[in-house]
Amino acid sequence: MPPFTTSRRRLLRWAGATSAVGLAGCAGGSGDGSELVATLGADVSAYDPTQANDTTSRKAFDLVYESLVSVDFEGNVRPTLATAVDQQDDRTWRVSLREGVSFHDGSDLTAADVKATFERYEGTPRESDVFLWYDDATIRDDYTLDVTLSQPYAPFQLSLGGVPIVPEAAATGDLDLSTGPVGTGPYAFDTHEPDRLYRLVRNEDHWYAGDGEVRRTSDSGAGEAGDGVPDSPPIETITFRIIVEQSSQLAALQAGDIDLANNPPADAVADLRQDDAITVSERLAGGFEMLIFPLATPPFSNRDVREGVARLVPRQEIIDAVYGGIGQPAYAPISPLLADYTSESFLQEMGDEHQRYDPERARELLERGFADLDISPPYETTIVTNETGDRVRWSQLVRDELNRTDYFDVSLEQFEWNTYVGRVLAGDSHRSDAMMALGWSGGWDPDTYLRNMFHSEQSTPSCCNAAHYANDEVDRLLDEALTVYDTAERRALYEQAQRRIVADAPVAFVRFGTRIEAFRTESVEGFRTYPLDSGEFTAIYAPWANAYTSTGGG
Amino acid sequence: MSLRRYVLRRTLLTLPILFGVSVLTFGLVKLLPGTPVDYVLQFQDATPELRASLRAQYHLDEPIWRQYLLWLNDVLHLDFGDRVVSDRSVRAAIVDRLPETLVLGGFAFLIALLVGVPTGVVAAVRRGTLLDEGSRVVALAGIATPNFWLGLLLILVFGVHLNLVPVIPPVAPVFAPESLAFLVLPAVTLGTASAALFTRLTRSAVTEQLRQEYVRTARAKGLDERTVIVKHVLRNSLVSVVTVAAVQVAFLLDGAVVIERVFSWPGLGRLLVRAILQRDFPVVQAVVLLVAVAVVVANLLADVLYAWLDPRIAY
Repeated sequence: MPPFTTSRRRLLRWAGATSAVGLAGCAGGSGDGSELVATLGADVSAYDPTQANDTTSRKAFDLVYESLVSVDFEGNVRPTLATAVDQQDDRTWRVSLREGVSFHDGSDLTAADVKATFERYEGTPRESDVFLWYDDATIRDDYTLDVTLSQPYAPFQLSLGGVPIVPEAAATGDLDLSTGPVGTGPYAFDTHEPDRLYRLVRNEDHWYAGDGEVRRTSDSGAGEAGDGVPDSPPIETITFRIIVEQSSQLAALQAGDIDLANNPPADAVADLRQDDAITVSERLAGGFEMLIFPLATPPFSNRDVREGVARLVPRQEIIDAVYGGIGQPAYAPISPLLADYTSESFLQEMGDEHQRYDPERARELLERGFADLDISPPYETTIVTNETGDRVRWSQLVRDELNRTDYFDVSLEQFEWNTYVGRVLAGDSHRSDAMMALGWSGGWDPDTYLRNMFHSEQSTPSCCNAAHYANDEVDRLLDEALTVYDTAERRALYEQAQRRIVADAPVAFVRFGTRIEAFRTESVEGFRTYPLDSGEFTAIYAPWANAYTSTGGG
Repeated sequence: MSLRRYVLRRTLLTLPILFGVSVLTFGLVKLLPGTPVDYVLQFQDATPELRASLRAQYHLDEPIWRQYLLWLNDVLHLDFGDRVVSDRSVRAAIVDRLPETLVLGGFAFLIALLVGVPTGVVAAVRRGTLLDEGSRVVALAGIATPNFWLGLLLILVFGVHLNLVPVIPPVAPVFAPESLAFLVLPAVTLGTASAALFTRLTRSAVTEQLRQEYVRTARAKGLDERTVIVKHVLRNSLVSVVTVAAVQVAFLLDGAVVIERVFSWPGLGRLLVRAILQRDFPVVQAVVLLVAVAVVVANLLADVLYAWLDPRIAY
């Protein structure tokens, strides 16, 4: 098995989301009477942010830990444990900490905790969360520290949002986070019974005082956060039930045993919409599905052939037939979720030029490509996929479309997840004779959609560039864009890089995913869908994002 | 041969079987691609020294026969080592979940026997009637229905539409009344195929016995039909049922892997599946061995029961 790098977490196991599904519900408890019974689609395997490599664990502790800043529902950076993050020079940022914040173990948050949090990432599975940019931190006083970066790093603030702050005692060994998460968040860890339940209780000492005193740091986005958010979470207890089987989760939702499901399967959404008791909320997410070409293997070594195949991907048919009309055709990697870095017109342009479904154009391209290579069709090949139902189904539609031409004789090969990942990310993936169906989940920063897939240094087995796409110009653009703080300037660089990539067609982009949540209307009030992985439960209580959920009196 | 000697001999004979089972359990896991070291290290670049020390920790640097003996020695002391994915011991993980699986399996087995055997007897006695034909159709359907599908169907009908039972397990100890109430659906789901099998088997065995001379004799003696069936026919029919019942123990443990997932029941099946996916070898070995031993013991019990049911049986 090849070693996993951190970025491989972004491989999408299931279309539209990663590895788990959660549900939430209301079942009137004790105290002030509010308990939300939520569920997770897999068991929680780690409580320590430096160890947790699965989305289930991360979303399970999302309400327990807080970061210096957080990213709200629109992608704006909001101060959370920091009150300000100010740039001093290219590589130095000054962080001012909120005063009067305490951890669930009773200790107070100071600059020493922050520095210790950063430094304990070294040598852990999540090392790159911090050490991609971190060089050093200087504590100026209890509530101020200067963070020095190893190089100018554009996504610095967004990256801070992915580093949960833990007590210094966790770094010195006086506190063991492997027995339970200890953070500053609105909920504290209560119990975890493996494969059964995971429970959080309201943190009565949470710092937010209900004064709307959480303001944004970034320039984009409008409105003050925090207005109207109650000073403590309305829901007292959140119990996550662990339910692996998706059908059972839906049944539990419909029976009222639980009240909210993250990512119900696409084919169930139509049914749920028919159900009066249930509200379906849907939002464009930060991920896409694609078909990767093995660039070292003829005929895929030929650009015309690749574009020909890309133009045979029936994206609208896939969205209608496989995803129940939900989602958006993808013609380039960066999700439209990132409005600062891409646009509808840019995507359409990329579609027109190189990717949009067009059997006529595809035939011309394939004819030319096969002639140049002197290969006599039909070329016998396979599409490799894992067992995710939606992905198998879109691969079948692509296969059928390719087999309708005279150029291909394609069959489908399905593998169990670990075998599939081992195959797709093997060092010689670009030399196999199979096309690979893969999903990728990006974040709030454009770099997350491009580097791991298209930078030559990220070729398998280092990371996930399974095509072994290598273009000096793209490498240069991606490296430069990472060090430029100006959004407009970055956007121009990423647009250039995307143009180059789409023209070279190392992959055929298929669909931008959505995040879907279904909840019981009468017992979940105020819930909103967060577009990225492990932020599923943000809306439960996030004063910095102006979000909170109550049980609707149920 | 006395019953005691028979039992002793039969028990001794399971030793080579258990030995074979342990070799297979150990060997099959070794055949899987990847080692625990890969799982532990998959996220980081490891120095050769770290790799070597981890290999030593799992005894991977020893020749395979020595690895086996070391493992066997631990297992005989009921020490299954530590899990690869956490620092908890394998034994603790199994002890946690064993009651769940035993209760579910036992409940299902009980349902299978209590439904299957009487239905089979009635069907045999009322041979050729609508009752017999009906039980045949139901039994065939029961055997043919995949249990995960049946489980989902039962959830849909009794959990969602009729809303009689919760769809997910209550937060309560495994022996609490509400837990047992919840377990009715999973146990029915798990037990249905076995119940169907018992029905068919009992029916054919009883039918055969009813043709025997001793039945005519018993009736001629003036015994009432009830005594004839229960005391004579049933006891003689049970030999074949007992054989199959022993094999069914394996099916019930097997089925639990699927049923525990459908009903979110935190038993050994869930532990096993996850352990396989995570290459948590010590857990896989321990659970597989446990199931294998359970089947061997069930068969041993069956053989002992034969001897008790039919004193003519000797080894």
